[in-house]
Amino acid sequence: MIMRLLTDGIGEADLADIGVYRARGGYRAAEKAVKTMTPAEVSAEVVAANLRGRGGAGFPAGRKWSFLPNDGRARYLCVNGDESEPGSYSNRMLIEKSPHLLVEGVICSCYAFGCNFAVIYLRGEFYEGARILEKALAEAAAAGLVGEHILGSEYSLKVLVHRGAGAYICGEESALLESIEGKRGHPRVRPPFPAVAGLYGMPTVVNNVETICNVPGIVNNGGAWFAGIGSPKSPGTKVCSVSGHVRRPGNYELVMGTPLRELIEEHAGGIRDGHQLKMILPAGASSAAMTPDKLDTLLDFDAMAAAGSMLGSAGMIVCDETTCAVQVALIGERFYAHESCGKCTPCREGTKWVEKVLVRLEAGEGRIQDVDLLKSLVGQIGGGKCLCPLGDFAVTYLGSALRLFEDEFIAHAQGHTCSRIPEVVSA
Amino acid sequence: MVLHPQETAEIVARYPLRRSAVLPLLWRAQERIGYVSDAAIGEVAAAAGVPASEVSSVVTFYTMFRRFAPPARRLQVCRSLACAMAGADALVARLRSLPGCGSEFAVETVECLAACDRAVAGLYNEGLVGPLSMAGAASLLRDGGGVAAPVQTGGERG
Repeated sequence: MIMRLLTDGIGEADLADIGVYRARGGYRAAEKAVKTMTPAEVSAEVVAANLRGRGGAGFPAGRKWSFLPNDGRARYLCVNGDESEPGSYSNRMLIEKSPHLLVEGVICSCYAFGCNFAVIYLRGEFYEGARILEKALAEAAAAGLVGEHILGSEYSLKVLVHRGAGAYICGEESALLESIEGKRGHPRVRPPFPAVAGLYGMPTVVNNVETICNVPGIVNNGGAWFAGIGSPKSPGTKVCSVSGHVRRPGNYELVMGTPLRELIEEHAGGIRDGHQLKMILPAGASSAAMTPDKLDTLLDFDAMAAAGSMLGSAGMIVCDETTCAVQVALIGERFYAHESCGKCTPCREGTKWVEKVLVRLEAGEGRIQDVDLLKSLVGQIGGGKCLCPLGDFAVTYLGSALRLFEDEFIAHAQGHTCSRIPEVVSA
Repeated sequence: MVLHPQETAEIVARYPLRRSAVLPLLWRAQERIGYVSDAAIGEVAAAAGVPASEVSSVVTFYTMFRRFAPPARRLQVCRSLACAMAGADALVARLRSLPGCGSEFAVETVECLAACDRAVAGLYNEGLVGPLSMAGAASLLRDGGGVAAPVQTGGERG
């Protein structure tokens, strides 16, 4: 079921204008928090809401905040707007179409855990998003909502937009911190986790854009209200991005627990004319494929995991029967080989090895042993052998495809190539 | 000087530690002269208080920093999954065979631009474009005209 908690007004009103945003009730949560609540009260509402991280991991935001040590050191918030997972484009919409919601979420969150400096990290390709967000921050500052003594209170908050410059890895939280520190985006060894030693070695919270955008609603309506929406263990909504072979690709904000079938068949309009569903990659290129028999899975963190895949950031790539499972693996692996930061050997070397094997399979120059070789490589690269999940992500779809569509890999290895991807883009 | 000293000081002062200014200063240098020159690397290193060799390693790590000036018209075509499924590789190959490619304009590939509902998506200079057709992309590269505005697809739009 569609429920527009975060996307309310998008497409109808110019929410990037602070006047429009405020006329629709915007910044009420920031005022309520800063003027009438203690930081502990705001935190308690977010804990009660059981708001789980929308970047994909699903870790409860309130619990993450509670890990910050009470040792008097400065605390930082880094908002992850590096959205780079192939298939995901919901953060970009929120940043461009409702930037004040994000700013208000930052104010409420920072107030809740006693932070006076927040960085919103945007991937470098979001030129437009950065301009829109900078303008929103300037409007918020002029209205006394960020800066010194917010709304006449004792509370001060500085918010910066920090742009990346083209690196998928910077969406990984510790690489993101390195990037803000002016370094190459190499993931850090953990522990220590960012809550203990994050940006500049200080206690730091890293939350996704969509997670932070949920906080104003929780402040306005209470944690109990939020916890009552959707799945008991995954409350709230999720903005799902649908792409691929559907009639109406787009972002759809659904109550958690909505069946996958409803998203694909009703909201996204079903598979394009004359074709049938082959598989869905529900959390972008990094997720295990789901076949049509899984369409009744509910869209929440636990149900998707139980079905053998993941909700992740819900970037759903839908493939019909014309799609070659081997070709999808190659396109995915090309991405990971390009985006591996080079720090860990299994990922740096393994992604290029897998890509090489898939290239020869696609070219009809494979060997029958290649199928077993790929299975072996899935095990050698994945399974937590690297400092960050990129290594695992690089073989998740491949591992699932080798199980679900092994016959296609074998056919390629026997020299039966296919060329199912269109040669020419329609004029 | 590539960077303006006053602006550099203002960017450095935004952060608790000055080395955080490396990426914003590199962006500023690239905006000013179109790429990151050796001189710019030296200036960023001095302003951010890190060795020039380290700034250089940052420049080459991030794909959006350039070490040479690009042509005035530059189209980056997404080649990640949704766009590849819509024919991005074939589009790039055809665009690269157009006369003037490499001299008057550049056709590059990028990984996912977070615009999968507009496959094949692209960045024309700094603007998101898509869905790209052969005719539309060729028109953009010829004179900057054509499919500058993204078309609407389904749901709440990105």
